[in-house]
Amino acid sequence: MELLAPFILLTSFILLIQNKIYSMISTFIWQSTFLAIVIFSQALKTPGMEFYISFILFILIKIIFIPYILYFFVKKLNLHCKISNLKYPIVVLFSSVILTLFCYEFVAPLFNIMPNINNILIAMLIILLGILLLITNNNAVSYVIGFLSIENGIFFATLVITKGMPVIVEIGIAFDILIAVTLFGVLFMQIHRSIDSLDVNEMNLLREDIE
Amino acid sequence: MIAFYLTLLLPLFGTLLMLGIGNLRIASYCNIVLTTVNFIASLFIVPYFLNNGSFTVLEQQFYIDAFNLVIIVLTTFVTMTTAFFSNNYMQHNIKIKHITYRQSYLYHVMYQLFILMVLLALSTNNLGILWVTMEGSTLSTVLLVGLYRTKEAIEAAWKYFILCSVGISLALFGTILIYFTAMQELSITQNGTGLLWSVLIHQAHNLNPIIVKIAFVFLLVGYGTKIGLVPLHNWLPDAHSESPAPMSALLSGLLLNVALYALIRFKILVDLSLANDLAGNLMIIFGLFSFIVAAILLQRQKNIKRLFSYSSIEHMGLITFAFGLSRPTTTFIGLFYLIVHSLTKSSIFMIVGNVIQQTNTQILCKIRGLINSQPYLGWCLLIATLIIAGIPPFGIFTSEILLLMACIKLSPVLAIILCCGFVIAFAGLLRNIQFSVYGEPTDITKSKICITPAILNLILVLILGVYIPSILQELLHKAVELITV
Repeated sequence: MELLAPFILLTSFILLIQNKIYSMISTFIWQSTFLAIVIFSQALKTPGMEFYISFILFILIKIIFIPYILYFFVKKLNLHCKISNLKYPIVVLFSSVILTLFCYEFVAPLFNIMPNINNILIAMLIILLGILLLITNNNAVSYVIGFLSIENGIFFATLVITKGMPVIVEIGIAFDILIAVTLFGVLFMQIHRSIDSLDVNEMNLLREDIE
Repeated sequence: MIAFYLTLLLPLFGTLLMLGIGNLRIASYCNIVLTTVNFIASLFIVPYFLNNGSFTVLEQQFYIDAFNLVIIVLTTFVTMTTAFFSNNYMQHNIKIKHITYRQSYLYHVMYQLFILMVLLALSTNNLGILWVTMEGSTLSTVLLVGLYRTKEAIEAAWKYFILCSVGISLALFGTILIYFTAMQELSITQNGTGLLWSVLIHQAHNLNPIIVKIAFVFLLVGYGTKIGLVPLHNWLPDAHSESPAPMSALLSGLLLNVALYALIRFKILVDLSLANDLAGNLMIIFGLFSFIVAAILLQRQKNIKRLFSYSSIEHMGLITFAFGLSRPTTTFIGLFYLIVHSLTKSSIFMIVGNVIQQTNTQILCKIRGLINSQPYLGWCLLIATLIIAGIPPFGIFTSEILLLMACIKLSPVLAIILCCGFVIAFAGLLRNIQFSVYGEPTDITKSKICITPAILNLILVLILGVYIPSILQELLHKAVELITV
């Protein structure tokens, strides 16, 4: 697990500066694959079927179903060639470095309490980088990937911090994500029909207008 | 006990039933019957609770105490009155071809699913399931917010979905941290019990304070997004203004309550663990800030539904503030405020729904002279606005004045801020509404109006303003004991 954690974090950084939707989705698949390996290694270590269940659920949802859905919509709505216009990748990367330092300061008091502090740091970073991805991008698909990468970070947190959640909660969360992605798909179609693109910045009718 | 099972099973049954009913009229009536029976069933939990005290059900999966029982009954009541209103509203919408039959079918399925999610969130004993159902309540309402499929509606649905989902995933991280410290400190080996409220509450003082502190920050941001606390409130006015009126009533009257309920549950744990006022102080700051910002933003609203959604933010801010003060009196006021606000705000959105149907617009300056053209509706709108602005002897006034009195004792500076906020909000609401009710009427399309359920809510608010029944008092006192341990 210690070996793979930095790779998961690395994919988060790559997601930030990616500007093609296809490569974004495949980076997300990479991230999920690393996470799946972490789950599997956890399953080997612990007795009982719980981790195998979450491993299978994870693969089915995050590596097969969700990327399939995303590819499907990208194809259907003709977005292959469109790039999300990230204006200042350097600024984004720089802010991600600042975030890293901030996170380190934030969890510093926990050094004595938690043995696996580095992993917690990484989990928090994945979550915060996911939020940064949401802020810097303006394409609906990249929003969804940002959301899913936050979800990945949280999943990693459950693995390293608590050795998984109770099965009933885990199934509940998996189900929620499944429904969420389906709903995202429905909204993609509706947004595309209404503004003829998936650029979130073009949806600006509901603003507090300043006079 | 049967009453409790029935309360949860009815919306589940309702969801499945609505999946099978294609006819709008039958679905509407089924909705009314189901929610009414649900309300009656939830009432029957009260005597059982009063006899036996708090209890867990189904191997500790569900937990009922005074705190969630009050909100469960409130929830079933509001869903019932809203179902009565939505019957007429939806049929009218179909008639004027605002929505299709398929959309109304979706509406009824999601209506029941939403009730199910809210009731599960309120009654579950498992803090993980609480999160799952909170997310479920977002998911079940996203398509309803965008039901009209206009550009604005889709934008509102998108904002609502992204902000609430991302916000609430931070709450999940907070929950995980709580689970971690529970497992570590309490050496709970049995899988799953580390998230059970009934276990945690007895062990809360053993939880690691540092981790609990960090967890609460995440929880406050996460659930605070759903409560609509400033600066996380952006989704709220959009979602409330673009969704169909019954949905706005439910979002404002129920969803915000449930999010606050979740936050307070965690606040109890944090208070026990830290033995200081950190959680309370954070809630005071966020609550007061939301109150002031929303009161100021009320002034320049041009859309009648946005106006009242800012009023929701304002009141939720005040309620959060009241709970944040962490004294028995203020907690009592907070709970009472929660109840009267739900009743008033849901009835206001029903009345506004009627107004919009008559005038075909949400823009305030296009709604003119309602008292002349539709006296009944006009007066209702005026009175309801006065009630939410805080006119005596209604419940909102009672809770505002009680809160102010409690504040004067605790800290006069806060009391002055509150006073200013009340005046600004009062002015903002009346200034915007008075032209809509008085003056020369604009053209309206006369259609059947249905405000009896709204009036029923308002009468309850009036009664609660002057007299709190002894059963409710007992429940509230028990809840206060729980929250301010």
